[in-house]
Amino acid sequence: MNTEHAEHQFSKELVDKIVAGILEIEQKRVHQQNPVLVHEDILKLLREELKE
Amino acid sequence: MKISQIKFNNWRCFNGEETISFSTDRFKPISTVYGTNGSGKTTILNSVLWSLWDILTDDFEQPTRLVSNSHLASVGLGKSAMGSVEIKFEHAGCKYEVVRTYIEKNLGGENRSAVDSRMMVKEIDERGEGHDWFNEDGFDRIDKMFPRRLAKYFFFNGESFVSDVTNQSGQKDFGRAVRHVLGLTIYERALQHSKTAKDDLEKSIAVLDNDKELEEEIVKQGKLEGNIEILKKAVEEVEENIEKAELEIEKIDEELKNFILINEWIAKRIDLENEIDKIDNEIKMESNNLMNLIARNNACMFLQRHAQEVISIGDSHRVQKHIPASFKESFIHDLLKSGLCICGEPLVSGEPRYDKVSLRLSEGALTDTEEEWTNLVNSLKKYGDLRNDFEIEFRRISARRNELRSKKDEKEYDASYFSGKIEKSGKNIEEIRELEDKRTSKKQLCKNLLVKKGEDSNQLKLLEADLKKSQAKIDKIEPKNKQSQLERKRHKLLLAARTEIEKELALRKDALRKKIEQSITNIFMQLSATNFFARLSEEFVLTMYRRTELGEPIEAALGKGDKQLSYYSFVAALSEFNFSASESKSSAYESFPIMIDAPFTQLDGDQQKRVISLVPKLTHQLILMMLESANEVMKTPDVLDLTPKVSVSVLYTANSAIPAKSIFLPGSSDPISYVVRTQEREHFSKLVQVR
Repeated sequence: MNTEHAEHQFSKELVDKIVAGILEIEQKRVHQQNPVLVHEDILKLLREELKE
Repeated sequence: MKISQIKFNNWRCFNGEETISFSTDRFKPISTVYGTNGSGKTTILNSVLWSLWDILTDDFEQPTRLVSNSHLASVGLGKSAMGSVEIKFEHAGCKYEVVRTYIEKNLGGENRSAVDSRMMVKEIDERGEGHDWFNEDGFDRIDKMFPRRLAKYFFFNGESFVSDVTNQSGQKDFGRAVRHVLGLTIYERALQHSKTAKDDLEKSIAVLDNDKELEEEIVKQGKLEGNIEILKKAVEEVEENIEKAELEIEKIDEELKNFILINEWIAKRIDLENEIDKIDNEIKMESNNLMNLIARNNACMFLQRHAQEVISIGDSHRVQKHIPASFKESFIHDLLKSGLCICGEPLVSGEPRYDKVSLRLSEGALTDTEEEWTNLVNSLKKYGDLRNDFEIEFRRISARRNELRSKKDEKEYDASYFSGKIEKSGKNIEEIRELEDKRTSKKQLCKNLLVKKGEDSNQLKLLEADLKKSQAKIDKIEPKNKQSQLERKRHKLLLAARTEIEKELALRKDALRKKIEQSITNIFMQLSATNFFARLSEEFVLTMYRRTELGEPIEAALGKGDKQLSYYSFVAALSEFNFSASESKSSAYESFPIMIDAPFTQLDGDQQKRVISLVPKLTHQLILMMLESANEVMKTPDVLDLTPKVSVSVLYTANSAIPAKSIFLPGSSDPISYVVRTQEREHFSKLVQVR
């Protein structure tokens, strides 16, 4: 994936990792009837990657 | 996925247990089900949709009455009865059995109520180990193999398919299903869910900082988004109403055309009636020929029947005489000449004894009799030859007469078709005026709706601009403490990830759109023998184009057949995409089977041949369900060459107008007999492997 990250301070690797993580979450949830909690998984992913 | 068998148990019109099998041979992917109208072809299609995905097609009448009528009646008032469908299929090296049951209670007369419905999926994996899934888990299992939202685009009725996918909501659903097959919806959902996550982060910052301004902006943004959603729906609704009004105008135009066409129909009917009279005369002539032929050959018909008998009686008489006729004659001659009878008495000419022996001579002169006898036998044989000639001529005239009769039936059918049209359109000026008024008001409605659509769209643009501003404002607000600063950092990271997902989605969408467009174009050109080419919109809505003499692309006006072929090409292109992707293991799904009820109704003979030659190359399994009369296309040599083995099931009902008989199926040299059971709406089905 070609990442242009001039407008933010994050490394290409980190952004790519988040993208891959989000897509993986979606893939896992793809066949589930109730996808309401998907965004919470995304938040969890972000909070794990950017800790205090 | 390849379906090998469907077993019905008291489900809909299938009383008792009935099984239909399909070919799962990779190189012989076509299975055909022939059946008269009402024999259960649509029921078969719906049985698959129902048992695997809990879907029934719109044209499936009385969708809540699934247990067979006679079975439910047989259990008695207040009792429950069960109907079920069991489907066996193969997928990714595993074997599956899906059983779905439906229980209904008999409430007397036509009344019934649903009691229960269950589903079970049994999987036998490559190692032979079994796993069972029930109800929701079963549905999830199936959905992973063949997503529910795709089902109706691979299992469909050829007659209604085009209208189902070309109306506005149909186009949207189809576009979504296409994007799903192509693996794009995962990116779309990622954007949708990450937006919710982004909103949550913003709310979190506001709470952590106790930032009233941010909170207000978030509330404002929420309202803006709500209003945008409402407006988008309103625009969609207006678009649907415009489409409805335009369709009504089209219908009115069709009705108005009737008034212009009526003279044409009358002329056509007169031509047909003249042709019918001509055919009638020919039939009469051939009937006379037949009568004359019979009259002329009456004697030979009679003699032929008795000739063999006469010959055999004569032969036996001749054998019984033992002594050869020539010897007998010369013996009597010698006796008369010697003047002494064998009893010892003298034989004197003129005396009664001499006359008596002389008489024996004429009786015994069998040389003449033998000759006459031979003549008789020969003439009888000649009559036999004449009889053969007669039979050949009789058959020829009868066949010609039958041919003329069918031709007459066809012409009469055509004439009655025009009579019906003339009768229906026999309207007066008042009605034309009414139609015109209706048309004018619909036109005005369209105009008004277009104005409303314009206003709403403008309003939408303004709101979207406000939303953008609001988002920019939110993004600019600086977090005040460490916690909120971290949340802001996560927020920015998420925005960066979203930008990447958007880019990736756009790139993939563009590449796949071009690929599918090319594939549809290639398939369509082979199916329709035209040079039209496909274009897909952002939402994957299909439009066919052609080039002008100057090479400019313009939208092509498609006939009914070509329109159907364009969507067959679309489905085939998706199937091909998945077929090649599954071969190279680069798709989440295996190749999907295609099952079409009434596949050829809108297509001419050549188009039918092209469909049946090409589509099997783009899928692992093609199941066609059609009228027996439509099987001509399956019998043509080039189709047989391309489909070396065909599985055929035949369905018949007791209600069928066709009496019990034998039919020739494609590729089969022997007729297949079918049985019509006596019980109402019971079926007979048989799988035959031909060639």
